[in-house]
Amino acid sequence: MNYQILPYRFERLNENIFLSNEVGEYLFLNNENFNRFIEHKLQPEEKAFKDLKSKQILADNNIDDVIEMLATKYRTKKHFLTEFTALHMVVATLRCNSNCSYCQVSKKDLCDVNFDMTKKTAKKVVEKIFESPSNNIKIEFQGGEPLLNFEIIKFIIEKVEWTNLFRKKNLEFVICTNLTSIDEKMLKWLKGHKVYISTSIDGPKELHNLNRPLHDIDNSYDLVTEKIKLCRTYLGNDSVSALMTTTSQTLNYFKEIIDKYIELGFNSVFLRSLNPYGFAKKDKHILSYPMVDFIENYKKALDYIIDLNIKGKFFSEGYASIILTRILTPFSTGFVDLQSPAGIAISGVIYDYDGDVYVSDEGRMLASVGDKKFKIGNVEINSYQEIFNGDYLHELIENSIAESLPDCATCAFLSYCGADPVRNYSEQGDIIGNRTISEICKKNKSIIQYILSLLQRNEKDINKVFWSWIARKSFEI
Amino acid sequence: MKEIIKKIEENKLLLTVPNSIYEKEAILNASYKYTDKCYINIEPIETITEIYFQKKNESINLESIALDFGNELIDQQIRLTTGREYKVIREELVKKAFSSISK
Repeated sequence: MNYQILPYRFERLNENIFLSNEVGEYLFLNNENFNRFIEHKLQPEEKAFKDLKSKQILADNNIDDVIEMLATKYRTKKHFLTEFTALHMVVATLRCNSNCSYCQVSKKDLCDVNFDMTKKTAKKVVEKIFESPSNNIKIEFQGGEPLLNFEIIKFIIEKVEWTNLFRKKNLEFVICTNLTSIDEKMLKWLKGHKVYISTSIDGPKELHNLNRPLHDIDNSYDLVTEKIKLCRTYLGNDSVSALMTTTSQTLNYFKEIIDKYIELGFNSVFLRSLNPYGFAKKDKHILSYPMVDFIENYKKALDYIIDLNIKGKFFSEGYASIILTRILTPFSTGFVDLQSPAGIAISGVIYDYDGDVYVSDEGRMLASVGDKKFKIGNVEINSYQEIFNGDYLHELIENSIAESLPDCATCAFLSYCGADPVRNYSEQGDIIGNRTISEICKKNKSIIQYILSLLQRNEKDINKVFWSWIARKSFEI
Repeated sequence: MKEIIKKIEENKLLLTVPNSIYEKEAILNASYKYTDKCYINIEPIETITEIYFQKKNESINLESIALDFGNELIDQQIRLTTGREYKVIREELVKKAFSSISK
């Protein structure tokens, strides 16, 4: 044996063999070189040998050192495990003044204050948050429309800030809001507490209003865009980010959606497919579309965005940026939907208005239609240990390690992907799920393959665009 | 060449593979990839394994699946064979990665 083969995975891709190692370093080999590689016939002077060695897929000497280096990189990739729960989502209320076609949380009537979080519950939520060992705490207020219970948001932020005088954690606050009820008084208060805003823009006026009408008026677009400007005036230009959700009505308009995001002053968009929860699942026949259609439109949109960047406009796509960071850097990206083990509860967790704790927002969405499969406790009844170190959560996590799941275990794209037991359960009624019929696997795999094929072209301009997305700043092309 | 793909009925096909080349795990892993398109039955008989494919719907081309299956089987066997070579290294790597936090 002239060399040692190190842990790797492979997949046939575009007439070549794509190989990746445990930490996501990759290369392409032609068939002949791949066959010679596995037969131990490559010679040290060959390019393929040198490439494989530099990517730590083979080693011919100092194997212990190579393992040590790979272990360090592996630990960096899995850094989110040592952090534990950093993202704490809090449902301030389930009441909402929006009437979104795809509402995934089954919102409640505007006047039904029984669905507001009380101070008693909020106090317990804050106690649980501070029991998390993580040094970084991000609190994200969700709804319904959380601003309809602004008093509880203020109560929680003030309590967290007070507690943190002694705990010294790195704090971040985000409100996920449709913005329609925000006013100057609220903004003045939010400015004093360094709160970020995450809102929803589904595209140009007609498309946005189609997906996201308000309870009493259809034209929410004008109001939201006006409020975005107001937020920027008070909180700063970078204080507002936006998300979009793709329905069958907006699927063919990614170019228009991207143009609108640029016009509104955003420098990124996250092209999100519809998640099968709440009304989005109930009205699937109206709102949904085949995943292959989403993938094809996504690829065209990505090409369009890359082209915009090459022409000098810095603008990124969120999902591609995450995948690229995983492919091209040794760092952990902390995207809870795409981790192994899954980020459920151990990276992000959600506290519902009544104190029930769910492993993820999607777990809470399932509960809103009566299925509490992913409830792991209640802040008023259970201790931190019971919620976050219980047998049930252990079982869920053990079943969400992609490295041991059927098909994922041998998938060459594993390092860039993750496990999503809640999505598997929602789609297939089983937390492990069958990859061959998994919509989310189809989406992740296709998009990762497409990004890899763009990298394989090794075009200077595209590479610069990708690195600018990772660095989050414009590079001169 | 010895016939390894045999049509049994209109919607059923038999693929025979030698156990001397392919392990049970490789056959199972390859079969898993086609469970969305076919009902698959696996029957080991002495030195061979018989794999029965039955269409899940009319649009499925069983012959094309059986041919693809052959290639998939090769890939799965390569994963097993080379995986055996680095199995200990992978275990050592993960152990070292988490040595600072393991109790």
